[in-house]
Amino acid sequence: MIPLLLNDAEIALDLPAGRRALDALRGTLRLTGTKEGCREGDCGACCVLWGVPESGAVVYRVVPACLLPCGELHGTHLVTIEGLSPAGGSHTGLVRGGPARAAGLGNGLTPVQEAFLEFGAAQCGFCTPGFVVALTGYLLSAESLDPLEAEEAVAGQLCRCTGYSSVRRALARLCEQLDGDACARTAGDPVERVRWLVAEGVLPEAFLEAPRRLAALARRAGSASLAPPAPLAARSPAAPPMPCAPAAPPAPDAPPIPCAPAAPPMPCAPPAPPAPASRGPRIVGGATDLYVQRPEEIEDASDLLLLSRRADLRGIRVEAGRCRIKGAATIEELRRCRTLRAVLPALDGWLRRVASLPVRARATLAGNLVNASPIGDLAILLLALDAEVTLEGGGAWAPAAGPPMGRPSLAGAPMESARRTMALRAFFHAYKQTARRSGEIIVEIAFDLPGADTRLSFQKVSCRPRLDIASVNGAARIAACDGHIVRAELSAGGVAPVPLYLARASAHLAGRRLSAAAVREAAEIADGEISPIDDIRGSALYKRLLCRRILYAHFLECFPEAMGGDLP
Amino acid sequence: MSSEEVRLHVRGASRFLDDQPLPAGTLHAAVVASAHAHGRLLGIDAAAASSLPGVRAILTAADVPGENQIGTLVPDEPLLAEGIIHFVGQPAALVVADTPAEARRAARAVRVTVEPLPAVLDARQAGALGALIAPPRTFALGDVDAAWPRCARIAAGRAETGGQEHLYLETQSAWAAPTEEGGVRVASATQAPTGVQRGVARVLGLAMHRVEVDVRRLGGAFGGKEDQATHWAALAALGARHLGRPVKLVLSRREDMRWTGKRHPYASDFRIGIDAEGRILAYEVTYYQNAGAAADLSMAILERTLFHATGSYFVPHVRARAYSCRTNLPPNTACRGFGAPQAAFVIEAAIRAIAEAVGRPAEEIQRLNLLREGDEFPYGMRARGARAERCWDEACVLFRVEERRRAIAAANAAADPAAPAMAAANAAADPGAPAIAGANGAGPALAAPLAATPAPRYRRGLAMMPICFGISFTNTSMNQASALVHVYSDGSVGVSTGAVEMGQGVHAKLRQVAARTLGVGVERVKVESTNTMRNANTSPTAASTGADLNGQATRLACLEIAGRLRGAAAARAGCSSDDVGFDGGRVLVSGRPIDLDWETLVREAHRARVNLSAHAHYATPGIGFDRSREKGEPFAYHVYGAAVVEATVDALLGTYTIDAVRAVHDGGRLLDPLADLGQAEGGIVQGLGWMTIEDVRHDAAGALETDTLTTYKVPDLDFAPREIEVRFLEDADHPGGLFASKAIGEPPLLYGIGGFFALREALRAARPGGVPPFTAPLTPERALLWLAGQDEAGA
Repeated sequence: MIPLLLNDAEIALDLPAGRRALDALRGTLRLTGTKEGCREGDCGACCVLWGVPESGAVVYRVVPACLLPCGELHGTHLVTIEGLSPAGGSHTGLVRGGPARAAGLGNGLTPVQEAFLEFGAAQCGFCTPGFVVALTGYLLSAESLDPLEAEEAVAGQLCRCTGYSSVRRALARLCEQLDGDACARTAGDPVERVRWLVAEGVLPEAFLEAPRRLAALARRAGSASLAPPAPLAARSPAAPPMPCAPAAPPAPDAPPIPCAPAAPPMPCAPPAPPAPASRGPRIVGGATDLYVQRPEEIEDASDLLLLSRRADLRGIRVEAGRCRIKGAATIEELRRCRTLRAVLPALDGWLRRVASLPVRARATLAGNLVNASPIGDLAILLLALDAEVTLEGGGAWAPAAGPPMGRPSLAGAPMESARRTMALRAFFHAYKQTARRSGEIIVEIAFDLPGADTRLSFQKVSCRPRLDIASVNGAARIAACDGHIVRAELSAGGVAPVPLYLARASAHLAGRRLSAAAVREAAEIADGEISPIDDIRGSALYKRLLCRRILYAHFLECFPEAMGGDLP
Repeated sequence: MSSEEVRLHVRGASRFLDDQPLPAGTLHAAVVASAHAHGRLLGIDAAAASSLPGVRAILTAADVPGENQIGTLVPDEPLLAEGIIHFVGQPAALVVADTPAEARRAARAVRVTVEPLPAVLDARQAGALGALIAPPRTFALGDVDAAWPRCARIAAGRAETGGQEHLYLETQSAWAAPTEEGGVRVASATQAPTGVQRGVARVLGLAMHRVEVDVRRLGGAFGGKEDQATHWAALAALGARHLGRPVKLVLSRREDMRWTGKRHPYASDFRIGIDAEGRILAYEVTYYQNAGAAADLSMAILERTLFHATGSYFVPHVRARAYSCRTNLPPNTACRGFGAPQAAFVIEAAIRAIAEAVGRPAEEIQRLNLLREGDEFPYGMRARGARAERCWDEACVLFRVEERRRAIAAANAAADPAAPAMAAANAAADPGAPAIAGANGAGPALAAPLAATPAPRYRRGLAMMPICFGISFTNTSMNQASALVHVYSDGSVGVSTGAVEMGQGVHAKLRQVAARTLGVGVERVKVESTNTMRNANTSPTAASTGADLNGQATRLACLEIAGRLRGAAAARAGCSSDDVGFDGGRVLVSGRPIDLDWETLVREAHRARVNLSAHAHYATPGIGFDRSREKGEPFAYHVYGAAVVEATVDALLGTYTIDAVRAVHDGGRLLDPLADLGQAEGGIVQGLGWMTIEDVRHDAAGALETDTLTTYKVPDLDFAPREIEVRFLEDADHPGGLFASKAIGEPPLLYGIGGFFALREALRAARPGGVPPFTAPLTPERALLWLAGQDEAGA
């Protein structure tokens, strides 16, 4: 059972942990305001607000329900469009007191909904709930009321009808009419923010009670932590806590939380048979690639190892000139990291191009590396930064039936949890093959912050300028002094079976004078290092051309004065 | 916009088909589709699949009780394949199971054995093989052959436009349930309820009156649910009929993208000639339409292409030939614009070709040749109420086009100090040559292009895009509609028509028409779902005519009821019924309110046995077309407009932005300004997508490669120009229009074509002397390869 707060009702879902929240909502719970547009996180129609308890408050993120495993809902507040809409409000026709009133029809809309209505920002209406949820999420997390930031918050929502102009007008109005001072005053304080937005009518009052109710939920679930029950652990009550999890799993005999009155009218699908125990639980980071590429591996799985639930894998630290990104840190956390932003102001813009906000809120950096897509944006960036990855676990997994060889190991946990650290540049072996061993997880990614003499560049070219997979991407870390290149580290994606560190081209540049000629030579060498293929992202010819020009773009942006007007 | 409809949308309370609560016992269907583009169907082995959990039935062509055929214009499209497989995605069998997941699992287990045959995917190739959907057609005006010798300059070339996925956000979906008398009730996400009714009746061997089709709303359609919703509805109905239980079929995004048709790709050859002043004397064009494997609506679309061959221009001597070519792709279908955008692209390309040949700005040639009052179209109709010049001139003034053009030229010149030298170097080359192959030398394939791109990186371009779009179904008989209006005894009003609400706001317009005609507030009026039992023999909601036709019918029905109520009021007030009027829910006599309100009047009229319901029929007057002569008056009227589009290209990386689209549009007197603005803005962005980043690609075996939203990219908020400004022509009443309005749905999409030409101007500025091919979509890949001289023509 997965206990959660759904809108204003406490419920318990009896579904496999790997089931998509979208299917739980639309199928099991019959909450159909959340629409299914693509099941790949590419349209935003299924966006929901996902509130996770964090130090006494609930922090809400907008996430695509199609990429959110039900297991993640354990002990959290899930808010759909239905939960955002004030009672009534769906009818403007004649209401004659009786039946219509009894059915709860009134006139209430939130300011977000009003703005969409006023500017005609909804046409067919299919994408509309996603927009409303995403904008509400923006108001929950905004540092200030800025129409451009509001646009950024809905950049991942596809609309085929409006051309987005009316959407832009609606959110400009919204930013104008809400109280900017209150927004600034409550920035960074989730409790006060919710209070303000409830007062503004943006959120229903149920949000005020969410922290308390989630805490009570957690208590009733028999655990102070919100770690979801590990199904295998639950079957061996005597087992000690998992060695890597900081918090104890919930007591196996905790009473199930009864379903709310609005209980599912449809029978839940029977849980799928458990995965073969010898494989251990399915390791799940953000699941944003997993659901798209191998949905069959997760949709029916009950046995998930949700990395987001491991406190030791969370966070990003910057100290002593080194940035340490934990294994469950999301791309959005990286983008919001203030210390890093101070050192690398351009990072913000680069990361915005990687994916939409709802996807960034789930996708992890480690996942981007483990997925090993030759075109992974983070992999390319981290290659140029000469990042190191630290892996943990691996080896065989204990069978669920009991501790093997009499060893008192927790069933479902790795038998060994040795750590090892390696250069990312040695991590990618072949297409979708990495140095990661079965069961191993990336616990940390670390790189040195660039010094004063070092410049960074990240370039990405895709068919649609944003929120698209690159045809070719590339990154560069270039240290220069007195017009000379001290060290250059170049990477390129989409041009080889793996995210590629351009070792020879990089080596060639070391010690050379900063000049267009040197870049041209490096491009020539890089052309010999790459092996692009014709595919849906472009012809090999195009990718070779792009790789070359991206290399030039790095230098043009980092050292415009040295590149001169004569080149390329 | 209908505030009622939008209120539901913003609350997530509007129910689309897949949101409807299902009756107990509803089963779910999945389709087994062909994996081959062409081949002999040797067998379908469902043995393994039928033993899988939850499976209730696996149906093939042999299980179709009626005619295994859903082709509307030509009977060439079986519901389920038999004999020959014609495209990847052709439905071969239907699996019905307890859950959608079980149905899909079983569908994957069905073995379809096919002996492959060679597949043809290209329209020109199909045309050369004589594989045509219908005999070619030719529209002609004047004597084009005699005109060529009189031309001062002639240019010729090719133009190609790609397909376009509709990408309605709601996928194709249907639900069907058997009725007690052996019929079937169908809910379908269709623009054509009658089309679905006819298709289901045909497949099940039923009379039409036994098939009820109901449509509440669509989550977008754009033409993709005009003809192509029928297949899925008929399959659901087949399952329901066979099992005696409700069956639902909802396509996944990937299934929808792979199996359904798109906007037709066109390949065209053009020749254009001008006189010394720049007047177009002659235009000859041949279109090769890629129809896909079945006729669908291809001939009607091809016909609209011919009707729009000369775009917004008058050309005295024209010959336009059109071939609808049968290929092994899913049947292509209606898509916002219906063949007109493809034609507009070619004439605009031809104008650029001739302008560049004579070294004049395209805008000069465009302006000189705009349609004027009384000009004859190649199909014999004359321009009445022509507003092409007015829109163009107002756009130029309003948007300071001259100033913008100069600013762009200056910026480009500043960016490119080497331009004069390069231009001079290229001037020696044949201006008609497709591309300057030598611009980057023929040397090492990739070294030179880098050196040939001048810094700084950005170049800008501007293009004007005038539009002229004929309104009416080109099939005259389809220009009819009916409305059933009930005034209930409490004064509330229900309106039923054939118009399907799909986001275009037609229900809001109908509501307004009824409210205005009856003199009551819109809150009294409710527009019902579109249902074949209330409105029979309806035309699809398409061709931009939904509001025009159904609005006129609604108006007629309301007038009839208002007439009877005027009589009732006159009897009570003791005046002539001619003196009675209604406004704001009050009864007026000679323009002054009397002591009688709408509700009382209605209540009393009902007691007095006055008929408070009316059914009215509207048929567009004065239209007709003689296909034997290819002459006539096919359109009720034309919609005009002119846009100015600006774009910026990064000459280093080939990426670009469409910066602004500004248009002066002729909407008549707007019926619903917010809805009309939304239609215009949305159409523009959809048109821009078609011209730029929306790249429908198939592999060599005919399977769609761009079959997810991960691989097929439509404009997102960031891609959509920040500046889209649509100004509606003022004082532009349209006599004879619905409350003096004009249709709005499709025409604005054509402004997007300006995006291609603005980008092309930016590219030309980046590679002076070069002639970018007229190939759309102009993806960043095409742009960069051309900039580097590595495109097919330049390599």
